[in-house]
Amino acid sequence: MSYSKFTSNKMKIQLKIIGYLIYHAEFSEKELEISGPITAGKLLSMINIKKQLPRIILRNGKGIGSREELEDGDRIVISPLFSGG
Amino acid sequence: MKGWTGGILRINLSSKTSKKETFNKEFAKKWVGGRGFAIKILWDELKPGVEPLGPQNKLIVALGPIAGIPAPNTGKTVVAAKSPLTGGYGDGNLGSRVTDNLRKAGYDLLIVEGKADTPVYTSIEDDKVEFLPAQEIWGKGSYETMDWLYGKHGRGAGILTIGQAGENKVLFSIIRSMKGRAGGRPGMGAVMGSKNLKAIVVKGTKKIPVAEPEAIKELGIGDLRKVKEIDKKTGWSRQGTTGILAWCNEVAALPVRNMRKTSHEDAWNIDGERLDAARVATYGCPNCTMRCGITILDKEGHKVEMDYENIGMLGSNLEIFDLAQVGSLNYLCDEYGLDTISSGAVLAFYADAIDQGAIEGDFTFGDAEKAKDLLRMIAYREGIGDLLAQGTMRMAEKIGKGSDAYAMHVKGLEISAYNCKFIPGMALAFATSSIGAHHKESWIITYEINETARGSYGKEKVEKVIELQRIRGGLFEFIVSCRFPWIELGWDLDNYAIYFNTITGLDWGLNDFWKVSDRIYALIRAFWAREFPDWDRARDYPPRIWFDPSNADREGIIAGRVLEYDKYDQMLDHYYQLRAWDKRGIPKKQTMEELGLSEEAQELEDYVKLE
Repeated sequence: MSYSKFTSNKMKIQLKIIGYLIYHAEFSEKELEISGPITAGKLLSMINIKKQLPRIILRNGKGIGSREELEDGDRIVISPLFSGG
Repeated sequence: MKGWTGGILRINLSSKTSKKETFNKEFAKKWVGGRGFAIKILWDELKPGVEPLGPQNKLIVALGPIAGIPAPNTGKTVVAAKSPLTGGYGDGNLGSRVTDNLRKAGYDLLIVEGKADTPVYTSIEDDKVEFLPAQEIWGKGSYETMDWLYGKHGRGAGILTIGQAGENKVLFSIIRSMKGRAGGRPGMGAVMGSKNLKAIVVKGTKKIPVAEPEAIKELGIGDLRKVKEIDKKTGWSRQGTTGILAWCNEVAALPVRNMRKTSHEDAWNIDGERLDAARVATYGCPNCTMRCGITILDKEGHKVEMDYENIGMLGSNLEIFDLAQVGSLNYLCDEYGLDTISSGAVLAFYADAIDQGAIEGDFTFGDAEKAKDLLRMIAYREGIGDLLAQGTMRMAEKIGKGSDAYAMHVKGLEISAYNCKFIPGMALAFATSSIGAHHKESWIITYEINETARGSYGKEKVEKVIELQRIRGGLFEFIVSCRFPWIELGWDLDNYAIYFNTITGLDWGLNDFWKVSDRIYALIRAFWAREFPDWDRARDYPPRIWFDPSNADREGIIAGRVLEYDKYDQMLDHYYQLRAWDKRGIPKKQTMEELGLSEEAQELEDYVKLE
């Protein structure tokens, strides 16, 4: 998936989707080359994970909000909020 | 009495007699049901120091006002006894047709006493109780036993049974139902086995008394549909509980190699996506529209239901990353009636102890075939299996050589599949769980990782642990209902107050439930203290290795980090303060009195001085 048509500031994001959200995004892991600046929330909407779906966003292992801007080389993990036994 | 049958069935296996007793509304409102009924009966009726595997221990089957009523996920049954694994209060819940059948037979509580002289099973059909010979099924696994019982009593019967592990009194043997369900981690299966009781079969035909029958029918069935719609919309049951595995691997919380490691590059082989792809069937509990029993074929071709805890403990924790092989281990645990979590912990501890040179043996991490052999040896207590059958705490006592540091249990109950070497709040949750280390009561890990600083030991984490204990270890365990609609799909907690009030005719809010939760937690803790009068806060600590800098991850997001004693201790202090317990972790006299436990406090003072 490439979003290079939007702007010119290209960056690479490692994206991992977890749990049932993979059936919304229709993939579970890939490297995206996208144009920045971009927030985590915007990235989610680009991959069809709607705001109504409770989710956790991790950047390099730490929780972040959807308004945070992503940086080149980030590993972003998106998982459902509710899970576990 | 609306909402409760008011019936207690007391059966004595020594004399093969049964007696119907009743409880009144005051008792019902004070303890509500499930775990509340169980701890009150065990507190009142067990003499301290009673041998858990002797005829004096009692097995409790307890239901609550919501149990068995058609509404979201009400198919659960609580089983409880003094635990042979921990020596303290033990219980568990499992999906079962016993839930509705026992209530329809007229009982919210079943108390099993004594010991049969030869193997029996008991059949309860409304007012008729029979003690039937079990020679034909004694020695059989749980699958064959259930088929045999279904053949005799029909598919609609509720069945609780044990496998060979319960018969042979493996200390972490569980009770099985509906082929795929299991509960009672702290050795409830062994308690049944010690009584020569192979199974309990229940059929009921009466109506459960409900204050507003038409209203609850409309509401409950409508809400079952709504839960189903939410599940369908989100896709939760595609992976069920196993969706969390990949997340644990990402955040360095996965149990790997007896919890020495927190992630593994091969973990994707056993994650929820792979499980969904391997699915051949799906099963669920009664009254459930978000079924989580994802079924695959194991290496030998058996159908087996998998969930996260099983895969985490029998898979990554043993460094076995072949899903079908993990399925085989899961199947064998189910067949023998072994707890999957403790089995995974015990095997990992054994492999680790061999690695450390503390014991000789030929089992290594990653060896699925040897793990299968060992599970059989545990179930039959053959050879080294006799040692492993006693759980990690006793194994460490016998092995010695400092192995207790990496025996992954709290109070004797093995830690479930979250590696908390650097997750302080979840470590506290395990350490203060009322039956020993179990995730069912206060599962704060996603809150902790997502919404707090991971390395903090702040009060907000302690408050969250208690909040979740009130909900998960309290509310869902005493109204007796599955917590999954709430935790997995965000189904509002207020719905449970509405169900409760419609069923009982009472007018309770959530705060009324929390008072019951606190009462139950205080009495469970009092039970432990009565059994162990030298009780102190050391029992509310997780294993030493989580504090050991030499055990820190060498790379990754928590490299170099482990728990810190001083900060954990402060956290524990705060936990006790919020619960109004003393610094040993025992409820204060005034706390017990305020919770309506004056008589119990007086009794406890015969054993322990109360503040």
